[in-house]
Amino acid sequence: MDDLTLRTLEAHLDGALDGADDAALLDRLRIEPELADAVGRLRAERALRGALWAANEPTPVAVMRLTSHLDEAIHHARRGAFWGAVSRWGTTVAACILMGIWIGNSVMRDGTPIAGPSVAGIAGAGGSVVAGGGGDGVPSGYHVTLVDDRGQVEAVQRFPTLEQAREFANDFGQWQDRRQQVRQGRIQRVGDPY
Amino acid sequence: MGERVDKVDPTVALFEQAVDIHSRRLIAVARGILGSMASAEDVVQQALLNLYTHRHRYDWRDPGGLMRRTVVNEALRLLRRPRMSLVADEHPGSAATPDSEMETGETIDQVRRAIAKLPEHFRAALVLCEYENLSYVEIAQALDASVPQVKTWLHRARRKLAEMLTPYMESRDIAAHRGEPKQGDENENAR
Repeated sequence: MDDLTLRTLEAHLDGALDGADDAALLDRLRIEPELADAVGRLRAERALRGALWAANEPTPVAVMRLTSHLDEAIHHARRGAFWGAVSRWGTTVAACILMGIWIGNSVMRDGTPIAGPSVAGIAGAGGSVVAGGGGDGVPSGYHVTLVDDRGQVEAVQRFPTLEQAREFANDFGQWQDRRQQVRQGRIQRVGDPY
Repeated sequence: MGERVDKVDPTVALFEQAVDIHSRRLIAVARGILGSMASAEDVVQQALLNLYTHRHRYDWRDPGGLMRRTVVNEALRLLRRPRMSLVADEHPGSAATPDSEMETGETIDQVRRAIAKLPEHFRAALVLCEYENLSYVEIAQALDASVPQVKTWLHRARRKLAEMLTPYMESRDIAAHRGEPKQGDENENAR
């Protein structure tokens, strides 16, 4: 029996031949006993394998065992996914808190708001410094230097007389004190005298 | 307002229903491919768990086909691992049986041993064709192969099995025809 004929017979038993080919094969089987014997052998071989396929079918107990183990495995996987999500959320919240603390620290220093500018002193036009607005006058004019909390000069205000310079320095100092008190919550501002 | 609406994942319901319907056949398919090389139940369980975990990625219009493909792939993946060891799985056909069924049990063992010697894709094609009654096209899809390849695998698998089993079948037929005891029984009588 040649290979092509065997393949055709196998396709016939598999139900893979189309109508015309199958009909032609059936005609040949009626008149060719050798071909009919070959089909009989193939059927017998197939029946042997069929016995194995049937024997491979599991018992109801085995099926129940599978579904029970599968349920457990799915439950375990769900629990793992839940705690994974909780862990991810926890990490996100912790990162936000840390970020908040870092931003807060960069804005605040030692828990105190960064101070605004303050009066460093009043200087005469020749360069002599009259600390805190005190000292003798220098006739050619005066300037008040405003510095930040790191000592950097923020502004310089010029005045023709020492009296005016002192008055500005005093007013500025009072304004700063009042602002600091409001920030710290020690007093409540109800009006602005300036 | 205020009415509680349960949001049930439809794929979970489909999955559970499909497991109930197909698990028996899936174990049988896995056993046909794996033989005694791994636990068929473990393979089916792993395949179905993978399917459940990634259930939203799949098309559930044909859950039976989807599950079968997943189990076949999992079984073949396992068989292609470099190290495999024999496991004791429950094979009803090889269990101790009454005398009237001993011959059937022996035949099944012979066929099982012969099929175990085939390459894994030959076994898979044979199981899908003869047990699952799939068409060549469906087998090709399940095994990620072409239809001519599938035809060749099936033909070669059958010819190899015939070569391996012909001596056993002939001895069995002759013994049955003459009413003689089989080879094993002869040895028993000689003692």
